[in-house]
Amino acid sequence: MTVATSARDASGADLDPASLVEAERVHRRAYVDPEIFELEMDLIFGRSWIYVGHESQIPQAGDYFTTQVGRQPVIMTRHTDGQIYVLENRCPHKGALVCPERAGHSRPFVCMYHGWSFDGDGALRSVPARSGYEGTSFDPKDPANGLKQLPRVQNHRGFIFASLAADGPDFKTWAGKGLRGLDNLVDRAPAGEVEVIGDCYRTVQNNNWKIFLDNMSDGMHTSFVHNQMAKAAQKTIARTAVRRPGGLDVAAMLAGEPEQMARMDLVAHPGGHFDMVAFAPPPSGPDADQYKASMEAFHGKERAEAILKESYHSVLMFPTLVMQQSLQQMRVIRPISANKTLLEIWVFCLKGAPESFVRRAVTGGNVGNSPSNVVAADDFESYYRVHAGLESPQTDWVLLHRGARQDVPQGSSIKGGDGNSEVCMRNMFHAWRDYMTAQ
Amino acid sequence: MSTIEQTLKLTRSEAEDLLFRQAEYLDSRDFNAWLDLFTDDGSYWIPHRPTDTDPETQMSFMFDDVPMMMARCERLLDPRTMGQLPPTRSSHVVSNVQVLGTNGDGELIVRSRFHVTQFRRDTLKFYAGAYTHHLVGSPDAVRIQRQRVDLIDCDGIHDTILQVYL
Ligand code: FES
Ligand SMILES: [Fe+2]
Repeated sequence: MTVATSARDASGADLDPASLVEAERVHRRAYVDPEIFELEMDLIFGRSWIYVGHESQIPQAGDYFTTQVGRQPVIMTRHTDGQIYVLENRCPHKGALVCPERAGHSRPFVCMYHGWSFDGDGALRSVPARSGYEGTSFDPKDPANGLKQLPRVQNHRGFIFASLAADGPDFKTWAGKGLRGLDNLVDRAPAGEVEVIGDCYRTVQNNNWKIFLDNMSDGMHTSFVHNQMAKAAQKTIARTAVRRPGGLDVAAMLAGEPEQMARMDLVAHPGGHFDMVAFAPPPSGPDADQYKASMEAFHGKERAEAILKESYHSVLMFPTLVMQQSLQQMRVIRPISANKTLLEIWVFCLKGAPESFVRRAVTGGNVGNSPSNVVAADDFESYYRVHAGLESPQTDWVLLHRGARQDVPQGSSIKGGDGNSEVCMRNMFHAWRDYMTAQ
Repeated sequence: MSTIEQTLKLTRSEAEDLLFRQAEYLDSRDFNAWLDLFTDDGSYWIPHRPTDTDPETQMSFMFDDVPMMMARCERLLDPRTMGQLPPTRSSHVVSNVQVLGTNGDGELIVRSRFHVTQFRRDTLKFYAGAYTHHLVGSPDAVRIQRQRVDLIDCDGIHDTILQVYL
C-alpha cells in the first residue's frame, strides 16, 4: 500500500492533519476537504479494523456477500472448510470484479470475462486455454495466483472485521473497551448468538462521515431535532393504542428535555470508540419473563442479571461500526467521498428469544432506520446543514468544548460529566489525529 | 373495523376515482383526508425486497399501521418538523388501473402503476412502481384495507429519506 503523507491547502502549502485537531476544537477542513478524505482512506480505513459483515449472512459453503473495506471492494465468503474469508473482489487477470452482485451463492467463483475460476478461499482453480501461458512468467497452476485474501481478518463472535494492513494493533487491542457494547448484544441472545434479519437497508447521506459519527454521541440534539416526531408519537399514543411495540413508543421517548439526556452515561474509550447507555426501558410482559428465564438458564442467574442490566443506546467502534444496541440495530459506515457517506443498516435478532422480540426489532428498524424512517429523516436535515455550513471558508473552527472541564477518568476511558458532554467527539478526533499522524 | 355487508364491486373508472382522489390528497398535503381513506385496522406497506411476503417479520421499506400513519401525518403537518423545512412537494401520476376481482376476505383488489415526483430544496426525486389496493366498503364509501406499494428500486440505495407517502 502506498500511503500519502500530506495534502495541500488552497494556497498550495502542506496541510498538516495534526494542526486540524486541538484539545477542544476541530478545523472545518477535517470534515470537508477532499484531500483530507483521501488521506483518511489510506491512514484510517487502510490501517484500522473495518467491519465487513456477519457470518449469518453467509450460512452455507459457497455463500458470499460483497462490500467495501475503505476503497477496496471485497467478497466475504464461506469456504468448503466452513471458514470465512475476506477476498479482494478483483480478478488477478485483468482486474474485473469477480462478484458484481451484493450477495449470492457461487462454487467456485468464476470471472465472467475470460473464465478463470477460484475457490472460496480465493485459490486459483483453473485458467481456460492454459497452454498459452507456457514459458511465460505466470503460473496458471499456482493456487496462490488467485483472489488475494485481506492481510488480516478476525471473526469476533460471528462479526467479521478485516484490515487492509498486514501489521498494526491486533483486533482485541484495537477494540479495547469499545467491544463491550458488541459483546453485550451477543450476550443478550439466550442461544448465545445473534443473526441478521433479512438484507440491510442502504442509504446515502450527503455529508461527511464524521458529521454522522459526531451525532451518534450528541445527546443535546435529541430534544431539538426529534422534538416534533416525539410529540407526534406522544399525541398519537394518547389517542389510540400502540399495536406494534418498539416503534412509536420508542420515538415518543426522544422528546426529552436536555436534562433527560444529561442523565445518560456517556463513556469515551481509547481508539475513538464510545458508548452511551440505553434510555428506552427493556420489554415487559409474559414474553419478557420467558426471555429472562431462558437467559438465566443459559448464563446462570447472576450473569444473566448483569448482562440485562448493561445496555447501550449508542455505540461506536471507530471508524465504521455504529450500533443502537438496545434496539438491535447496526449502521456500518462506507464513506464514498468527503461529502457522501453510504450506510449499510442491519437489524439483528437474538437467537432463542421469543418471536415477539423479532417483531419488536423489525418495527424499531422500520421506524428508526429504514429509507422512510421518521427519526433520521430529521437528522439528515441537520447533517446537510452542518456540511453545507462547514463548506463556508471564512470561519475555521468547530467547537467541542461542552463538558470539557467535567470529564471523569474511568481507567483508560473517560466518562462525560453528563450525557450532553461533547467528550466522545473530542475523543474521536484525538484518535483521528493519531491515525492521521502515525508513521 | 369495517363490516362488509356485501362484496364491493367497482368499475374501472370508479376505482380510478378513488386512486386519483388518494393521490390528490397527498399532492395537496391534505394528510388527514388521506388517512380517512383507510379502515381503522388498515395498513400501508412498501416492501424492502420485491419477493417479501410478511411485513411483521421481514424488514420493510415502510410499514405503517393506522397509529403509525397518524403519527407520521402529525409530524408532516407540524410546521417546525426539521426534515420538512422546507416541506416536500409531490406530484402523482396513477395509471394502468385494473380491477382484478375479489379475494377470499371479500376485499376488492385493484392494481395500478404510479410515477411520483417529489421536490424538496432544489432536488427532484422520482419514485416508480405498482400499487396493489385491497378495498372494502360500498361504492360511495370505499375504504382501503391494505395498500402495497412495490417500488422498482425498493432494495436499491436511497439518498433521500422518503417522508411523504407515495
Ligand atoms: S479479467 Fe477475469 S478472467 Fe480475465
Ligand atoms: Fe438523531
